[in-house]
Amino acid sequence: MWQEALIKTKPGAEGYVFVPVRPQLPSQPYALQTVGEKRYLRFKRTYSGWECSLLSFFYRAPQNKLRGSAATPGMPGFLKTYSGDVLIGYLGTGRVVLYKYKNGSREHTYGNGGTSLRPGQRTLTGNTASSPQGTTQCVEYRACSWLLTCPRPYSFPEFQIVHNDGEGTCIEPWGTTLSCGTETVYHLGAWNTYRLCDGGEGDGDGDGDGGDDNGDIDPDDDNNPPLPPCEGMNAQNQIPAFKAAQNELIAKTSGNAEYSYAFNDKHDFSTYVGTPGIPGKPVVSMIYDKSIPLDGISHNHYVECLDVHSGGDLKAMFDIMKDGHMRDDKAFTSSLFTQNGVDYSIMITNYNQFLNFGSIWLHDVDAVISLENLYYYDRPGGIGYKNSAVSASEKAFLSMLDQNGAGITILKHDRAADTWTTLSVNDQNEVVSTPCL
Amino acid sequence: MKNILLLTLVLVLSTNSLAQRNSAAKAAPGGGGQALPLASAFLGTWEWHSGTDVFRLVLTRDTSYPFPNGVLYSVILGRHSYVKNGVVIEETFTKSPNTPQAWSLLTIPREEWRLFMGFMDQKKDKRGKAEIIIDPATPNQMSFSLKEPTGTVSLNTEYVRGFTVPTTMTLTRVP
Repeated sequence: MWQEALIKTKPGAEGYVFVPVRPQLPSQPYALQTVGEKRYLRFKRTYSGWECSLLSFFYRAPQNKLRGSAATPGMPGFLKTYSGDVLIGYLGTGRVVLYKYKNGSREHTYGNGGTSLRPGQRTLTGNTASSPQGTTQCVEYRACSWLLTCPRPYSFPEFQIVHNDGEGTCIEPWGTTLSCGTETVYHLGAWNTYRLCDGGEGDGDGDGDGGDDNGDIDPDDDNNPPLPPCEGMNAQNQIPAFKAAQNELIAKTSGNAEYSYAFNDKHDFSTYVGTPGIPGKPVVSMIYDKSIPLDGISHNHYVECLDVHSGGDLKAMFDIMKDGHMRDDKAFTSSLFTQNGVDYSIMITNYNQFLNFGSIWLHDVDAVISLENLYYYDRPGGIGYKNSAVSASEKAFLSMLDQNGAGITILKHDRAADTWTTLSVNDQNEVVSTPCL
Repeated sequence: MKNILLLTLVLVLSTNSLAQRNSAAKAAPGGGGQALPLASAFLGTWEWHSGTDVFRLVLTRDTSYPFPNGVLYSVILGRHSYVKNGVVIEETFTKSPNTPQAWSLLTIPREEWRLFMGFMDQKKDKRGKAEIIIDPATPNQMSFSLKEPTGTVSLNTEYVRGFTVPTTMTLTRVP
């Protein structure tokens, strides 16, 4: 509704254009759909150019999750009198931030104003929340990653990854939907906890524009770099309970069923939850306490199974991550002990790449079917080629992960020496082994 | 003027989409340097009967089927129905052709007379692996066996055993 656009200017170069967005038909782009809320495209003129974002005002609360009200329904009164929740989705980055508004102005919150953030004042602590230290002026936030999908029959192949921040918890980005509208399903991926301390002033500029948002925390900031895979694997290899589970699973590779262990950071064998599979079926359930984040999973393959991790195995690791059951994605291991005397462990070495890979190939069973059709076939060159040597399956598996930029590192176990080696493929498509020292 | 610009944008996007859809599908891996087989003998309608129980399978080719990564491949798709004691237990024929996941079987053919197809059990919402074989000497008969796919992991739920449809059948081509 360009004819109803509202132009607001500020002293200097900044200025805003608000364009109301009306409900659209499902066939139109999801970004322009509206379900139970008022939406505006906001074009913000800054000193460096234009920034476009989608503002969702929850005038009528969708799904009763977020709500707000305004004394004046029409423009510009609506923007001046609105109180409640506003989601701002930055179209350039896909990032979504939830703000609280009162009478058209953003309420005072830490972390919203561009001047409130000082890089030295925040600490990223992985997925473990920690309390403020020695000050009552700190507020804890979570920078959260969400995978958006549609339920059947919508779900193939649409998905979207968005990031948002929530005070103390992760809140679904309700204002961002796919073509399935309110049926959009929000899967929580990993989150990082950070604290903001001292002087976090919202801009409170009274114009209902959401103010200056330059202070967003970017969860992709690499202040917490991944643990080198070897370091993580060597540390794991020193844990008696992990070794005990490993030995038991190796022993079971000669049977006719898969077994699994899921374990957490207590490193106590009592916290390893072992689950037997179904004899004669290459399947296994992993049962664990969802309230305790996992450090890793291990399972075995018997004679009829693949030499390497299956698409289902990759999906299990992806599901644990997106469901928020991974204590630390940088140290999580999925280990596999096989009937051929070869063992592998996979670790996430690039979170965003793995999230993207999983969002394409692992987000539902149909996607896994496609992945397995394309790469796990029982023909020469296929990961599942039964007549090939283990090394051929290994190479095909490595190539598949490499071609897709999966963000995963593979480690191979030498049972005799009980050491691990990282594997990769070089430009000549040769497998390169780098021993963990 | 703005409406004209919007209309132009929509037309450009639509044309691009159509052009992509009609472009040649990418060659799938697995041919060992050779072109992959067409496996045309499998295309058509097939049925299995046992008393009043009927399993019906229709296999078609889609030469430019979009995979989750956006790449187009030539595939064989299947839809099926299963009627037990005169009651439709599950079927995928009435799904709109425009509906994603309308198929219940999918494969990139890599052999002329044998297909391994990913299978989606509609009622149990689980995947399976169907091995379908035609003996060239009897091209109007097809053996169908359904197995658990290798490497299925279920998290915090007991594994759902078995399938809704019979797991071993000999189907006959329907003229």
